[in-house]
Amino acid sequence: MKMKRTYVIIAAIVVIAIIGASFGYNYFLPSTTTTTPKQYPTIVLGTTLDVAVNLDPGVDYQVGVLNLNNIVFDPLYEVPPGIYPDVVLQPRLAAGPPVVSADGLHWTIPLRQNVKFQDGTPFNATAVKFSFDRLSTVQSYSAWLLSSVASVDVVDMYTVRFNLNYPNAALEGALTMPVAGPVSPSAVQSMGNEKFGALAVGTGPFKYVEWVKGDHVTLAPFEDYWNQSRVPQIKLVYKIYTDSAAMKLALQKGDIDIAWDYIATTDYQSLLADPNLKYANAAEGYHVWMTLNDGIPGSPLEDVNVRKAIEFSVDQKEISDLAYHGLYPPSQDTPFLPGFYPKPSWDQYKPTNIAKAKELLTAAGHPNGIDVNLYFTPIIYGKEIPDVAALLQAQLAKAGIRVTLNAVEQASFVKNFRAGNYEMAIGIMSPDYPDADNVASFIASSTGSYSKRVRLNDTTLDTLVQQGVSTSDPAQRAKIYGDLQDRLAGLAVYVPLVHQANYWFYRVASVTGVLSYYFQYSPWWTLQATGQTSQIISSELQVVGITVTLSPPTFKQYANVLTSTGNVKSTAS
Amino acid sequence: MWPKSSRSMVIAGTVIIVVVLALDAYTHIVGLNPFATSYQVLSPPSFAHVMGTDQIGRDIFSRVSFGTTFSLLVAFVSVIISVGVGSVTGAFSGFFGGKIDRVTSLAFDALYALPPLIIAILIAAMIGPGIVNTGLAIGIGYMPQYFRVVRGIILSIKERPFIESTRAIGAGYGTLIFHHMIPYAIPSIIALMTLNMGSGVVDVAGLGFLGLGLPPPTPEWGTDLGRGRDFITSGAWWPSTFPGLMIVMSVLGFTLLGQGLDEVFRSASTKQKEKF
Amino acid sequence: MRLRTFILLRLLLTIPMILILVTVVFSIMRILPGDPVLAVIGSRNASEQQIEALRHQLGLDKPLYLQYLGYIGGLFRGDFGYSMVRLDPVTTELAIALPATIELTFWSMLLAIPLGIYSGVVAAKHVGGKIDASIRIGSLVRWCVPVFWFGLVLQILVVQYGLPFPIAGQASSRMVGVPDVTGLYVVDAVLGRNPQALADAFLHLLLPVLTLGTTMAASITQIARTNIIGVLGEDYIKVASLKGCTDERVFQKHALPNALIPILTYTGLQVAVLLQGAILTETVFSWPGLGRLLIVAVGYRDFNLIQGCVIFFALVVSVANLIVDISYAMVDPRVRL
Repeated sequence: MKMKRTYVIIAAIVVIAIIGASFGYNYFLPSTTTTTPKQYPTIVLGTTLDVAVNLDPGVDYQVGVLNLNNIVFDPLYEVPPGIYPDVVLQPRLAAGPPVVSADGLHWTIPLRQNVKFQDGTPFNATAVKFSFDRLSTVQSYSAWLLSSVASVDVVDMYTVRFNLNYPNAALEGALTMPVAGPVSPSAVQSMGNEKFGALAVGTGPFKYVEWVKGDHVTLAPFEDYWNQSRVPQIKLVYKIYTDSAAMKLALQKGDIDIAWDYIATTDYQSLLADPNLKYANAAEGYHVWMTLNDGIPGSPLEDVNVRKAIEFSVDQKEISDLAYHGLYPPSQDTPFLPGFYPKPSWDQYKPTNIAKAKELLTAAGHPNGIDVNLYFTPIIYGKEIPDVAALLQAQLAKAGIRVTLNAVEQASFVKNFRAGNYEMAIGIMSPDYPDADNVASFIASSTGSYSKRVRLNDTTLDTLVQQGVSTSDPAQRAKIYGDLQDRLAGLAVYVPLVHQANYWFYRVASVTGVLSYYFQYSPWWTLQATGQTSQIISSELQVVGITVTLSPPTFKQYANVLTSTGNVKSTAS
Repeated sequence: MWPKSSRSMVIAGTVIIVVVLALDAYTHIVGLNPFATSYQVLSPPSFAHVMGTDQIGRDIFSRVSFGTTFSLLVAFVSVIISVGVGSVTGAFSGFFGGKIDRVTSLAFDALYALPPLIIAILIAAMIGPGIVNTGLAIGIGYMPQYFRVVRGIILSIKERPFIESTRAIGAGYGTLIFHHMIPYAIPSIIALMTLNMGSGVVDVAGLGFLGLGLPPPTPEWGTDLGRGRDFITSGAWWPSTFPGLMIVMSVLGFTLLGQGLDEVFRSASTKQKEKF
Repeated sequence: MRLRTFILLRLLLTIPMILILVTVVFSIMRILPGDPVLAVIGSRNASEQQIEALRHQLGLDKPLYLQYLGYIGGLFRGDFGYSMVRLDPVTTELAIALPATIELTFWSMLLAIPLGIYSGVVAAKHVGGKIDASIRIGSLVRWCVPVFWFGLVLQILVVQYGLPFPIAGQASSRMVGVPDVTGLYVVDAVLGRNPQALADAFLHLLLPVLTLGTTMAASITQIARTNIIGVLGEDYIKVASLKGCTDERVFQKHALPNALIPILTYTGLQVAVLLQGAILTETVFSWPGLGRLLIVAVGYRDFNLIQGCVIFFALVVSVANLIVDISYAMVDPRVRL
């Protein structure tokens, strides 16, 4: 017995010693700031958005990598900072607006001169052609954005011509995507596609330094960047977390400086109350909505009045308050987002009116209500979705609409949803690139993949979509898209629920210049360490954002840190 | 009659299971509603809500006790499936022997090589959620156990004289296997079934935790405590704690009962062996 | 039969077994609705033609039997195929995730085995008494606690009481100067002579290892106790006692070694349980290992990656069972029949 006890005691001492030493080093020694070989301070940005595939802009198409590639590559055009009633793109790597031929099939684009790639090689029209041709040779999840382009010609060293398959006024918008950011031909040729995907080379203000899969991406400033007012002053570490709770704790502890997408709305409360943190806020991201399928034979939803009854029964405010704790505002009565000619055509269904819903149902021949199926997928659209579904079920029940909930896992859901098999479904709508046509063709045209999900087939809408993409006059487009929204609202195939609102919390003591734009990819070249003096022109830092009216959070036991009116402006600090 | 420790285990196990079922029954009798949302979001335990409320204001006590039905039901389905298929194939395989036996054993060995949870994950992802579906997904992973046990028992009594004599008087294979041989396996099977009820409950909760369980808004222990994970860092410990406690209680009940029965049958069969 | 023949036969039998498994998993995958392309861009505004084009590029539109034969052929060459979502070899993905799982399971078993055996020993020595009863009850209750809930409770305790332990991940974000040699953070920190990184690695291991380790220890305790009690009742123990050996000597020289072998072989058979527990523990603590990789791959319908993970798990379990069977065969010739 004695010998055994000695072993146990020794083992216990060893274990305690290890734990104690771990504590000692981590908590009593002064914390080492990350030493960097260069002179730049490091800012760590935490996110739950992993690099799904790789860093090649011609391949990956996930939000995280899109934002990274937006600062490592220069697309030809970009959305200017700020929010405007209609979006007018400005040239980035292009030298001016495109010159479109009369038949709309040829776009001649002048290119900026004296631009270098991050590996020192010069940028010119050959590089643009090379980057485009390359897309058909790699397994690309993003090439479809440029499917209207048949080929690219080199006109001269600094002019290219895009030859289209069909006239497409929305191409300029597509050219703001990182997939249209030229890659360095010499880098691709020397590294090969696979290695290039690990450390892609472009012309942008940041360059990739290292990528540790599943853990982080490190970026450093590209000191020879052509736009000297956008040269970054920091090294950026894009640190990947697999769950937002861990990321939130990391922010509170100081392991990261900025918590980017996505922190669950439930975690915002303690962050709002933390004096060390501030947030940058942008009002409109994606849109959460419910779809009503008008084309399933035998379904009561075939009747537009039944669909209108559903529109009248939904209480968007309750969904915003309960499922999203008031942090995602209720829909502004249209799925069209600012910059895309929004018109609140769905306010004909406001306020929530159960009596009217019952009236419509009775008039449609369903005095005893109806039975319907609502499908949703629990994870990819946000963890709050099952709660939204439960709330919708309870709300619709008041009007006699008995909803059966069906949770479907991701892959089956996407497949069936796309095929238009779901009577009712909860989805999100987010545009791919900044042009109103991207939204309109997506959700209103009969060939759009969202329209197919609700089996929408309306010739008037098709005509309006066609007209919208054929003209570039803002006033005309406003009228066309206004009519389109009126008609779409009348068909009641979409029930807008809430808008996503971004809250990017950051530590005031470590970083400034955190901007959250609506729709523009994050301009992380504006980030600076607190107290750092730099020569970046601050015009981008004085962006006026959109006001968001948020109802107070509903956690009773936490301090309410929003003002009673809850008005928030998006500004830098 | 029964050894003292196994007697107390059986009693303790039964008591716990009864308590769990009683809580469930109470919910139905009193008419508590596990689906009713409210604006009292994430309130800590109080008199009004003994276990607090969840993220859309639903009473957690209602959900936890209502959830008993689903967890036990799915576990039961999984046990029935695994016992049914595993035992019958084990009996036939052991009885007939030869090539059939070798191939079947190989197949079940292959199944045994995979941890049951992985099998459940793959199948649950394939056929989707639902009481029978989830039960099937879990049950498949436990079939090999019954296969082995029953096959082993059949093999050991196959050569006994009374089997030969029963064959001699013309009994068919079916009667022989089901009427005369399987009864010897019943005690072992029953103990295993009870233990697997406990494993079944844990596996249902595990699937729910991973997001592959019964569809929301069904109150299921694993799903609820998995959802509660998101609120831990905001200080709300109750959505994850209480469902877990129920899981522990139920599993404890079945495990005690199962182990107690196992001991009882073991001592009974030793006495039986002595008779021979 | 001879030992060598037995080992050879068992090894050969493993191959058709794995083949059956691969075929079953392959079929399950192809029956599953959805495919990796849909999973990645299905919710975007890509048209059906565009999605078909991508499927064609990944070879997903080839006839099933061709895909199957191609895959099996690749397996024999050690090629587990390409991860369709991450567009790199499955073996690369496995290699990245494997060290994390090894680290977790290694340290967990390092806790579980001594803890389990020691508790079993103490219980056996006081059999029938209060200590025995409390150990039995304690290990039984611990066995009934689901591994993922135990981890959650630890996280809750850390958060509620503000304890300075990390509750997720394998390391903090600011660890620089640690070379990526083995992928095992503890080993790499030692190799890099970086005490802060070493401390950080241990702190991150603490909660997951406590979770998985105590889970495994619970069943080891029960087995150890049963075996030691059994051994203590054997005749040769009584003989040693009568010969005049002290209790302690009897225990250490005769009882413990004899009981140890079945305990350790039982532990070998628990590999499947260990892997299962690792999957759940990795999910709770966001530990970047194979378990979590599998869950993510299932969500993305990344066929090859799923198949790769499943095959790997099955191989590990088979090898463990094989080792156990071989050691039994070495000790007990009757088994070789």
